[in-house]
Amino acid sequence: MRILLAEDDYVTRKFMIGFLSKYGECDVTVDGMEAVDAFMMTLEDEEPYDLVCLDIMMPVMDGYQALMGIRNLEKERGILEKDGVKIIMTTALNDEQNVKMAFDLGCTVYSGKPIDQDKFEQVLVKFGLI
Amino acid sequence: MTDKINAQGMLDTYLLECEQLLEQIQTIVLQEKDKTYFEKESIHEIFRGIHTIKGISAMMMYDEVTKISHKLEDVLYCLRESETKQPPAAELAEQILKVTDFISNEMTKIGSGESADGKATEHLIQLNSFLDKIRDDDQMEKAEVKENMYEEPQQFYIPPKVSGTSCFYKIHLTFRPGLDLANVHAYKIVYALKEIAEDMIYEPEDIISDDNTAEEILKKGFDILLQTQKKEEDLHKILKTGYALTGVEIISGTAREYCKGFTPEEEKTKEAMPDINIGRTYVPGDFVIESKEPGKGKKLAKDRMERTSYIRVDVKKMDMLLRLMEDVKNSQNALLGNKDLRVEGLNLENFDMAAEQMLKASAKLQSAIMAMRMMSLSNTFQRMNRIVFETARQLGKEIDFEMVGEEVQLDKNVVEHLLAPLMHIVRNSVDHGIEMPQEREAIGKEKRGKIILSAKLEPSRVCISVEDNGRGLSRDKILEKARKQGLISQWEKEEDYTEEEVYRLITLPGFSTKEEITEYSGRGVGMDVVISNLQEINGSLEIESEEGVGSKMTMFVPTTIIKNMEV
Repeated sequence: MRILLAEDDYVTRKFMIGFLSKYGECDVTVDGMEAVDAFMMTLEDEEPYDLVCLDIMMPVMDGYQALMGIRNLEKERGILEKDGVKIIMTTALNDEQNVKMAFDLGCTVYSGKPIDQDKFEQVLVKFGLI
Repeated sequence: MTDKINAQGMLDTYLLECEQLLEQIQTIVLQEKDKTYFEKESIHEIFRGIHTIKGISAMMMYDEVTKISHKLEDVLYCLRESETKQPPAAELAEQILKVTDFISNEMTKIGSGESADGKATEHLIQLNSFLDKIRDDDQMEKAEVKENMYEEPQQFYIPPKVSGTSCFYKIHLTFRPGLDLANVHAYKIVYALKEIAEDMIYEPEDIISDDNTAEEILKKGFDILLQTQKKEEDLHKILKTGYALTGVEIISGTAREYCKGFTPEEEKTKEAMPDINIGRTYVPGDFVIESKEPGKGKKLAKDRMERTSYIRVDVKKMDMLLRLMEDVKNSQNALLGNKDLRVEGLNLENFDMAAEQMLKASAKLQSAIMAMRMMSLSNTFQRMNRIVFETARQLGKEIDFEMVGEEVQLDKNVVEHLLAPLMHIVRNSVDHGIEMPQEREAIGKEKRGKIILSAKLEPSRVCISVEDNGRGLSRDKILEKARKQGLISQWEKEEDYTEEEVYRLITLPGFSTKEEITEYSGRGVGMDVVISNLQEINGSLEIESEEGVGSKMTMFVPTTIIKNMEV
């Protein structure tokens, strides 16, 4: 599985890489803009990611913007909603409002930090990713 | 729940919703249990409740809760779809209550930070055999009962790992006097603790790049607030290994104390920032981080995260403030335009400058006062929504109601004055404007009528309109009635009246009284009330209508009640 991770905090990033590498090859970006760029690149190379993990509070572009960006790129390519990449928001923001906005913008999973690794894994199984 | 570090808004919402639904279900079950069979309507209602619980639990990934509610839903579905014998109420009640008990038990666990580890297996077996029994009794219909399909939700929410075992410590460290670069030593400790920390705050903050902190640390010591899974002795072990420490003081505390920070006034935890917003909506882009200064927490580019706090103020005081503002304005004008100043050859250069400053300041003051009094129309609009809904149901009419521009803001006073006129107009639209469904179909209109309530902000005024696609105003009927009531004299010709003048007739007092509503389908019930209310706030009314097509009443009102804003 190909994974894209966007996370600006070094410590969290290190942890996430360690955690995600179990499931596949993990590319890392440090802000939302880079994440969208990386996604665009793999779309063009036709080796799309299977999973994108986005932090919300990030420099340059936040996770919501990156989420919108990715979904728009998909829309533009005529990729159907059900075939879109699985996007997991990984964030310490756990307000209902934040969650709702992420869902409205088309994220697949909203996972609060600290991440519940068991459930995270369960959800990957549900999607048939592992 | 309130003791948790992060505001677990999402989880709270989920728990609250489940709790309410469970309570509802239990109330219904208790009502029904002594009857012979459950009422059909009750089964529907329980079904809806459990269906919602299933949906949200699936999204939250509480699989056992999802499974058991799905099974109960199966049972209810079967009862709902088959027209045959119902199981005895007492038996069904028992099954339902077992399920709700199981779910409430899981909710309690989730609420207190434990994991929802209950297994529903046994309940599932019981429910299955119960279901089989119903189906057996119901052999004939079995084939016709459709399968209750379970649809996996498309989106999931994983709550943050509830660290029931998280401990909170306040650590005070003192370093050997005369130690060089105490700040770097402090940083090394912070770094070592990061490995085990779930969250950490320390003071002084900027220990990496600010050398002055070295002295401060030596003098006052170094304070750390730490959230971790580790035990106190583990901390001692980490802190012992050569950091030139002379004193290590560890106090364990609660999450609540931790949230309060070093001193009770300071409420800052790195991650707890966003939970403090009330009544604000975010948009993508609000969470862009501008900078992460050394040793400090993240700072958002848009400073939306600031705590907004509100106080309640008596409206009378606000009104008084407004009146005083007008007094100030008047006396200001009297002062600046004072005829004593009109002296030949007087040098007023400095005076004029001061006057200009005063004008600016008072203009700002005025707009600040105005802004305080602004409120949105959404409440008023929602009330109209209910009125349309209720009136339409009473009258047996079918109406789609659409609202545009609820967010437009107006002075509180204006909003209050709008309520009565708006109610009149909206009621009229439902009552007299929109035809009965059969009547609409007969004349080739869509069966459902439509009413659009909209507000639009224009420079210095707002227009609020109620538009319907009903029967419109009847010119002939209005004129006929006006003549009867003596509002038009005998010798005036009807052709002399323009549309506008005709419509104006209905706003005259006494044009229509209540007894005549049913006799005359022409509108105009209490339209004079509308006008007088509008006049109080300097508003006006415009009526457009086409017979058979619909009508539109537009109210123009000022955004504020002060007539001229310029000083």
